Amino acid sequence: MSDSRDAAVAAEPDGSEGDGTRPSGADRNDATGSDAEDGNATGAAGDGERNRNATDPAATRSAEPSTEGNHRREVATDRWLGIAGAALALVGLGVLVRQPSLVLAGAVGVGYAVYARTGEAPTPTLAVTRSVSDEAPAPGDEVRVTVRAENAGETALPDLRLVDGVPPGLAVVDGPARVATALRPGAAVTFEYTVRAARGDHEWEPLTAITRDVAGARERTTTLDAPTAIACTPELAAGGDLPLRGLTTVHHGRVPTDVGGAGVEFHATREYRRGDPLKRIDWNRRARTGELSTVELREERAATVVLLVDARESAYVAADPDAETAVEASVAAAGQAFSALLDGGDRVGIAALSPLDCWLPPGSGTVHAARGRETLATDPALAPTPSGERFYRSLWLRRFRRRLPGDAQVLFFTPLVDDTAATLARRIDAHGHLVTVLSPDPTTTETAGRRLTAFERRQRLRTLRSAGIRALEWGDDSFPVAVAAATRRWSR
Amino acid sequence: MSGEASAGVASDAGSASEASGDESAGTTAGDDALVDFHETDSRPPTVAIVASLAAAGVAATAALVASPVGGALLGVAALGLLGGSLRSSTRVLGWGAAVGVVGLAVAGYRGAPAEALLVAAVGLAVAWDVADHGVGLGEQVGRGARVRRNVAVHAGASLLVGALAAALVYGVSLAVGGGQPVAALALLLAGGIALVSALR
Amino acid sequence: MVAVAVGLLAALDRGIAAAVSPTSAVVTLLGVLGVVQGVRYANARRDRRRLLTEPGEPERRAPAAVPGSALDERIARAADPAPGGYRDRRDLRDRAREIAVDAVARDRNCSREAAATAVGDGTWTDDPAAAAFFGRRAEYPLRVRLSAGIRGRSNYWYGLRAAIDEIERIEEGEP
Repeated sequence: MSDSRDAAVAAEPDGSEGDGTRPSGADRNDATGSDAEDGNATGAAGDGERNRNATDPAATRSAEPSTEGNHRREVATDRWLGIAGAALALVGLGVLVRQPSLVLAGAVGVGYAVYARTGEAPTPTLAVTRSVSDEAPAPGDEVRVTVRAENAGETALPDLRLVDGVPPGLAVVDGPARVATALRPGAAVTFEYTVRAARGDHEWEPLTAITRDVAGARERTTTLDAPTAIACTPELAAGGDLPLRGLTTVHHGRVPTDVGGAGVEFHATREYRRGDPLKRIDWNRRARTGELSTVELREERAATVVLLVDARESAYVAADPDAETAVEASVAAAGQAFSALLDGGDRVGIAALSPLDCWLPPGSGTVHAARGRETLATDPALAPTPSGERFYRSLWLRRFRRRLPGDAQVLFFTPLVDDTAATLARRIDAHGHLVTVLSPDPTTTETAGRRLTAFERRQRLRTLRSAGIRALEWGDDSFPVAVAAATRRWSR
Repeated sequence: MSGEASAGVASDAGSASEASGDESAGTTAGDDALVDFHETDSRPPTVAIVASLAAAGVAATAALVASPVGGALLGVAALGLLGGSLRSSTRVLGWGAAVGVVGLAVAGYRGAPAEALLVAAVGLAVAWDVADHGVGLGEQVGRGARVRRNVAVHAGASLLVGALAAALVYGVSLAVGGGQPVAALALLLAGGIALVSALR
Repeated sequence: MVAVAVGLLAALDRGIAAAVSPTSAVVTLLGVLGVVQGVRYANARRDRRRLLTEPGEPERRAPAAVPGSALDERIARAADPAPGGYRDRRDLRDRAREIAVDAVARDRNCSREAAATAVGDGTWTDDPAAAAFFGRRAEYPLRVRLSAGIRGRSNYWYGLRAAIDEIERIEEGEP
């Protein structure tokens, strides 16, 4: 905050921030909330008044906050360093050899030396508006981003370079998110670029404005807030193709009972009652005898399953710097498991092994399905890039155990690239929960260090298995294929 | 997953980071559309290179009229500026400009007329300025972005300053007339040395 | 400043110029001084440091870490033939040893202790460089020492690579 106050002073030395028209921090926060809905945001450095008047309060697609530019620094570029020396040398030579034309040429150099010393990098007073073509895109969609910056100040900006703060989890696929221009007071520049949507809540970082004086001798960097966000929530894959039954039936959970009801296995038939589902009517008997009767199936007790996704900073790894991280793979797999288990009638919860707290208690039903989808897509703990917070293992474990229902089993999605994940799996197992480790394989084999890491990971998997914890990994083949193979193995 | 070939890369590459660089480049090229991130082209914008070359061409031509050697040196300077632009190296640009200044000195020593020398000096300054500006733009904004207006304003201002300075000194020299008071020049020079020393 | 002012006046008025008229030698001296100082000042550009804002690459998605990259950096430090880095070398050797012992124990179906002995005395492998890497007595073969000397690498680097290759051979040999 002190920074932005500095910026205000720098922008308008007459100290007009005392007049109460300037938006407070609270305004800004409110505006952020509405922006998320409107997909349009405005930010301005310095003069908020102009921007406010220009914005129609009734228009829902425009927000009206103006935020202070955050003045960072002004530096000398030293571009012209040496020009005075060169000029002096030419003049000196001219005097030495008595050639006045050389003296004149040197004097022109002096002119440039003076030019380089006169300017000061202006503090930009910009009204920045950013809009996105779709604020709730599907993964892989291309989203057009339009940024407009208007010089709302009194001074001209002879050299203005804008670099937009594209969210770290998004990749620009068309056009750089930058522009360089010169703006008279009141003039505006608009530039566009396209990002490819990926899972998660993506918030734009401040726009960076670099201004120089006309000679380019001094440079000032300012950041301008224009809060914008998109939320990309993948559909939960239909879980039918995921043979997770094998994962959840072995120990507890889904125990066959002698109670008739919903289930898969035939138990008995009884007389039809109003409200019985159509698909459970015994149509064969109806055809044979004309009576309506209902098939009773053996009822199964639902399992309680918690999907635990490793999202510590160490899990944000991939075989290639530009590939999807293991966290993405884990979240995608957890999504498939979530809907498959829900479809199977189990109660499913979600937790993250992350410095940030994330806990969706086990539940079932369509509302729960929607909440699970939301959690997997946009929970900050499962964000597409690491949060940078520190992770405290024992603290996390204590809280997790407190929350975990006694009969719950845990599907633990982790790349297993460090010992902590393996240790936690064994600790949770030791507390009487059935733990299944599902591990996307992010290791590669190009260099000595990577090969060593791959060996260590493989050894961790072996150690887990020998400790009686079921573990499966998937790499190039898809998660369902790996599950199918593993469940065949386990059921033998 | 691609065992032997990649292991070979690792054995040759001096350091691990080198090897990782090779690998990521290869994978990116061979991969599908999911990794088509936009790579910023940090070369200077074409318009800046072209403007710089034009100014350097004018400077070399003006010097060539007066003195072949000086003109040739300014031609070398133009090549240096082009090379610096293509390699995004301000250091090369600086050396190019230095060769150009030497060219001016030689042309002046050989008795080039003031008019030609002034045009060459302004041309050289603008050429270097625009080229250096272009390199800075390339680093911060890249070639793919819209920069035309920015470059035009910068080049125009540079040209204007040079033209004003040249007109001023030329006017003064005309006012003073043919007989050059060496004493006056010497005093100016002494003052200039003191001034530059103080300003530095 | 004064000199500049006087110079300007002198340029405009012959009288003043005549009054202060310096000798030709003094003028020449001044010219030399101007050239020397000018070249000196221009030379200052050579050790200029550019402090430009680097906006980075916001267009690119934050790059993911590749598992083992940090380890590669440690290996590069440890394998530097220059002295030092002893702790790195020992730590890395211990990590690789763990893996090797596990692999041998699995491969020969023996206890970890027996495997550790085999790794320690070099009988776990036919590759002399890999044997020398963990071995207490074994020497690196002449071939390795020669090529290490010629290519400016350490024996350690070759030993580590040989050991990892050997571990891979053992792992691949398993079903």
